[in-house]
Amino acid sequence: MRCKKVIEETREILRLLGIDERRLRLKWISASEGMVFAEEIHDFVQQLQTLGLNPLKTDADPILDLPEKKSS
Amino acid sequence: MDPLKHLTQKQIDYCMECGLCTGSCPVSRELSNFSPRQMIKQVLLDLESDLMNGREIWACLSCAACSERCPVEIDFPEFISARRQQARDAGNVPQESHHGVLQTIAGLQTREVNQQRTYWAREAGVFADTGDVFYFVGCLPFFDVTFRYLNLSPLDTARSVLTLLNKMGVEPVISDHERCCGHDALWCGDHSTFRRLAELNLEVIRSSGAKTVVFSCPEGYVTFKKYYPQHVGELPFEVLHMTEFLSRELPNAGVSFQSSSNRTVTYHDPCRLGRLAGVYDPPRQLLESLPDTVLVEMERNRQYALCCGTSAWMECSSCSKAIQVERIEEAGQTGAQTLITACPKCQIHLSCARSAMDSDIEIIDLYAYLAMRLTTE
Amino acid sequence: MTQKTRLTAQAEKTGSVTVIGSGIAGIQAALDVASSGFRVHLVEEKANVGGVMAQLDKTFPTNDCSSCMMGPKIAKLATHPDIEILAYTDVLGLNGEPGRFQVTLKKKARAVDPQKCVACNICAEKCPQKVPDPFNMHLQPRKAIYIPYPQAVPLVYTIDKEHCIYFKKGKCRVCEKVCNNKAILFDQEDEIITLETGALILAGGLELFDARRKQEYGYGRWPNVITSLQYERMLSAAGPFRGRIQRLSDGQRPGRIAWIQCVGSRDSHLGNDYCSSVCCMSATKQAMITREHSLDIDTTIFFIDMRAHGKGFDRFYERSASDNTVRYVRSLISRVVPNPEDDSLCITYCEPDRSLRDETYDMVVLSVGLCPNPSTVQLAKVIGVPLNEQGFIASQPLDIVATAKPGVYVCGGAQGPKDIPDSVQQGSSAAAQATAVLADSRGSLVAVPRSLPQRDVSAEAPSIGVFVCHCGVNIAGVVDVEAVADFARKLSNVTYATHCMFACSTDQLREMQQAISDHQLNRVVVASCTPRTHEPIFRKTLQEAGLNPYLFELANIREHDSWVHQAEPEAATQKAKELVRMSVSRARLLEPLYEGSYEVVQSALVIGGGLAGLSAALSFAQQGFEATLVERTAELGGNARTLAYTEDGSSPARYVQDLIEEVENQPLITVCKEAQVTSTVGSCGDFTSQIADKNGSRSISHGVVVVATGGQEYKPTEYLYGRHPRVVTQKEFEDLLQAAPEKAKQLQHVTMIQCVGSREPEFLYCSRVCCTAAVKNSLQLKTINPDAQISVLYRDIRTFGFKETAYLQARRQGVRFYRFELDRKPEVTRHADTLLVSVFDAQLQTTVQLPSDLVVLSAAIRPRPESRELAETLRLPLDEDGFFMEAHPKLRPLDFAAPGFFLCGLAQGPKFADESISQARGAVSRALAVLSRKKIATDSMINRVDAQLCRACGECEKACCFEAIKVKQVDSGRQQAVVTAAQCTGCGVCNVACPTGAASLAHYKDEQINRMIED
Repeated sequence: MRCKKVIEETREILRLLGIDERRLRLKWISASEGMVFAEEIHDFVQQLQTLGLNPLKTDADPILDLPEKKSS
Repeated sequence: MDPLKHLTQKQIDYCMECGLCTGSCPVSRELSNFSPRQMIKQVLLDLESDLMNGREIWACLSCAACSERCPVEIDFPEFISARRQQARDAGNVPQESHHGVLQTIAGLQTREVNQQRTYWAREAGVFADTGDVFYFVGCLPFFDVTFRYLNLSPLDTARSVLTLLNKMGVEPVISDHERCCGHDALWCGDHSTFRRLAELNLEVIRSSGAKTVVFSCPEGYVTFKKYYPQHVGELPFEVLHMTEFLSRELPNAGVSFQSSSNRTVTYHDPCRLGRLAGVYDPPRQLLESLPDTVLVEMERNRQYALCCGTSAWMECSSCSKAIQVERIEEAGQTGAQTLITACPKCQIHLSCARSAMDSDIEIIDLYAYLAMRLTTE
Repeated sequence: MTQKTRLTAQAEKTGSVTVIGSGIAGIQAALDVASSGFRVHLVEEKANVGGVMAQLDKTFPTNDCSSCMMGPKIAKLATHPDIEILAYTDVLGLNGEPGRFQVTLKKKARAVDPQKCVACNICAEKCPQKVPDPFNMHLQPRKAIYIPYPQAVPLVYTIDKEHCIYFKKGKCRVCEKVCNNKAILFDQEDEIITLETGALILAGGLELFDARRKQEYGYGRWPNVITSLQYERMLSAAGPFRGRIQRLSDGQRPGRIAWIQCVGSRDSHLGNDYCSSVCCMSATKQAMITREHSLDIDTTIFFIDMRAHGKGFDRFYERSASDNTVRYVRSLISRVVPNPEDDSLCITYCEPDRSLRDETYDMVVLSVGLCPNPSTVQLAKVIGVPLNEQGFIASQPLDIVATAKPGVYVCGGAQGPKDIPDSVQQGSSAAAQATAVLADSRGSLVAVPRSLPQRDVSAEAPSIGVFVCHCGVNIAGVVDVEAVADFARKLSNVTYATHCMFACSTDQLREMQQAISDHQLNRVVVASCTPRTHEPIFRKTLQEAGLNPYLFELANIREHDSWVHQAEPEAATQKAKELVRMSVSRARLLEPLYEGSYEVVQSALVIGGGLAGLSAALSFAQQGFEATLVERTAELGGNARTLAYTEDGSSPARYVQDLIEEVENQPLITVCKEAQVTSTVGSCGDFTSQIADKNGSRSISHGVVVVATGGQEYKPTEYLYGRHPRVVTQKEFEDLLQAAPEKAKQLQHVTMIQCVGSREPEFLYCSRVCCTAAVKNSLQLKTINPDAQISVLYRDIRTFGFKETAYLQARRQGVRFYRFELDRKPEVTRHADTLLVSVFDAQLQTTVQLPSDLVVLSAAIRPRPESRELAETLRLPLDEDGFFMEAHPKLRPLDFAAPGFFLCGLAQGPKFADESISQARGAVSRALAVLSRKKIATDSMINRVDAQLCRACGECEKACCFEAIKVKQVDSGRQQAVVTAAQCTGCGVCNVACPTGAASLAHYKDEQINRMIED
């Protein structure tokens, strides 16, 4: 499908640019899978915290503060 | 020095409203309210608000067809480039094509990216990290992903260049750290991005130790040759276009080419190589040096060549399409089987339009064509 | 507001239909009737609509969430200008005649004023009286003042007078004290009203069998024995345990769960002979979901026959066994023995090798049967509608939705236990039948939309009003609403910002309109709940205040914020501010949008002249619309011509001959025989098709297409068919019984083999009718020759619903049944001049030899090969078995995904003759939503193409799955992408595909979205 193709191409561009492609995630979630959505986001945020701040960020970028790392 | 003031005084005042510019302009033929003559007049009389706020300022292709004809040598592309910087500061931005992905990539390259963009070279030939000759590849790896949907492989140009260079005994420097030359940023009025890219590129070339930098892309070539010195000072290395390099070195390099059934070709002069950089003969010499090859010129060639219709990945529209269709029909009229392009963007834009047309002509990149014609051992 | 559109004098039929019962069947009937130009009174005895489907967690075979599917239908119901919902209302009586009935209703007093109640829940929170909650199957309590779930329609609370302290003892009245809006009215009285109505549809639904009547299973005595619907509530994420599976005795997770099927069904002992149709699939679904939930819960289903007779069911069942490893045991349970130490349950069952096995389970789910709703039974008696033997409303032969009383129709569970797609189909079918009688009065009682003047804001700078809603405590309990309003006020272009208790309440909406006028606001942002609930109301409010309704933006700070971040009020408040900021950024760039419209060609094209096609064409004519019927062969009637009798005594063969005569004499129908449709272009409401016959080709215009191309009997290659004269199919056997009963009389030993060509790996579907056909033909042979020995070799007997009684009859008359399994099929060999059938009986575990005079094969129903051609011509989808694929297997079984196309009959899947007829009318009902209008409004939130930027590259056309955008030649002679407004759904895929930015989605332009992120 189109979405898959576009995401794949975006991954290639990220690889060329040397940006960790784990920062891009694609997941299909239906409206009734609320828990799946929440878990996926938590998992993604955790992974992003492990990957650390984006090395390409500059001071001019608007900040999206990641929440405090949870102990669980 | 403020380039704007410089222009205003020298360039615009000389205009005598003769109309040759608008008459030569390919965009004016499609967009009735686009007129280089009027734009100059508006600025002259300080009636700039229309120019600053409208779309027309972005419709210019900076192809220099107008400047080529202008009797008082007004550099219209320079004029537009300066005005665009003003317009951008005032919040007027162009319609970026392909969802702005190429502009985003160039923007990201102003930061500390750790690019991995030489994988294609490892498979295609031999290259080094340091050396005398630096092959500046440009945006080809990114074009290769973004324009796959048109069944194009822009990296074939780079592969072909590397093959040719290797065959000549040259192991060029190819770097992971190249940035976009900044051509698009410059022509879209984003001078701060342009400057940053230029600085980073100079650093990359300096640390490779190269004395000569060769470009297959006309835009990279003319940007380094003409515009880098204007913004970041004299360059400490030689800047050559690949056709110049090849036509100089190839005859003595012991490389032979073979005949092909694909022998009648026509050649499209890119605006950036032709009118903006003055390189007309080297590509022709290369083609004519091939055995059994006939080059048939299009009606509008060399400094009169028609632009490929789109510039700087913006404002692609029905106007662009109409110009492209005209050019391909012109190529068809030569009777040639193949249209040779020497610029990745010309190849992409003309191929895109050709896919919607009933035309048999093949569009092949110059270097790919040369590589194709190499004698097989 | 009513408006008479005709000037004829009196004796006119009332242009309305009253639907009694608001389960899925009633809802579908109501929506279809209202969409075709009639007023609907939807009467529901409970306090809110939804029926059983609202209680389900997921539905088979797609495992879609039930409330997700119902939500949009109920939302449409609630906001439809021509549907009046009369909830908490009983029916007292019916007088009059078809077209001019008077129905008497009692609107029961809720003791709550629906105009004032805003469903804030404060009353229920403070109410001291707890009551077992029937919606949650008594698994948890609710209060005496209640709403079954937060999204209920109508969104009004009700006082359960039987349990309310005030109504019982005269004390308390706490709810009255805490209600901010003074909505409690203890002395509200019941109201008796009489409505004039044209027709009645009974859709009163089902009730569960009382499992206490099967004492041996211990329901009601042993805590871990529960019913299927209780388990359903347990599985539901909105249920009493938030989707956590747990034993009722100790709250622990069960390790092993057993399902017992047929509790209260197929049980002559209890007087419920019939099969409840859905429990096999329901248990399969529940077990599958349980396994998906956690692989350390073992699931076992104890059953008699696995009835997977619907579309997609067999695959679902096979998948549950292979992928989810649900265990199936073909043995019913005699009793469940409790283990008092840990409340586990012991089940004994018998294995094929005759040994008995004991197993212990932590929980037992009883798949209880479905019984008629007692109030429907009572109503039927009062108004004189006869019931059938099983106590459900009796259908007329071959007309499932007609009752014996003219003008009164039935659909859904009230007619008999059935699944959701069948209920939906019948709802549509009943709608068509009910309105056919009233066709002349179409449009006479529908609301006329008012046109409101709009202020032109194009010259104004954005002036935004922000309204932050408390939603009682739903938002304000977590988010500091005042702080959000203060924050909003500081954003640029925000002229006015405030906070309010309930933005959706009538008086607040009035204040909003006042604010728009006072501050000359030209954009409105409301920060509250999800757009799904109230966006239409807010848009309407803007319209009434003179603003274009699309200048409205909603920030969801409830579902997206307060409800999911309850533990972090500070972060939630910060998030609410960010959400409001995003909405304000977007609001600045919103533009007014206007709906377009185009004219409808008010006629239909029906493809296929069999039972379904003929019924559809006639139904269109009865509704007053022209229809063209295209039939490929030289004769009308299809398969029905040779279907002499059904298991309930009807004769489709005779019926179809009458039907053909009616159709051929009907002036509104044009019949084209030996003709085919070679192309169809256009969009919903405006199609042009080419019909080719031996005289050439001509084109017709029509508004809708109904596909009824039928099916055919599979010609087997197995079991010596075609190579031995004594091996025949069921259809051939039927012909023999009808045409040559003397020959039939001589048959001594007949063996029937089921599932020939069905339920095989390459054809993994059930042909639905064959078990019943085998039983029917066995009974027919028995009447001719009572001494004939008949053996039926089967894998599962799928005589679902009331057909179960025929199966019982067959067994009583001595027909023998032998079960075989897929990996060991029977063998048919020549034996002298007759045949020998040998079958490994799975129950006896030995081979049985059956000498046979005749072997009858129950051959599968296959789609016609021509269906594939037609599918390509019309670009309609087929499923993996070659039948046409409907838009949604549960909720839209008669629609194609492409608007304006409908389907019915065998072309959709194997079915009975009466089902084909009913479906055909259902398809007509669906089509009427289009045909009954003179114009169709096109959605305004659709894609636009900037002519200048468009290069006619065609990427958009490739990307669009609705065929809504194509490259065409436009007036100037250029090529350009053009949007067909009727087809465009506003999904935006073309925007992604377009390389130049020419395609932009109105209301969701790139700039509008980008600013939300970047600002």
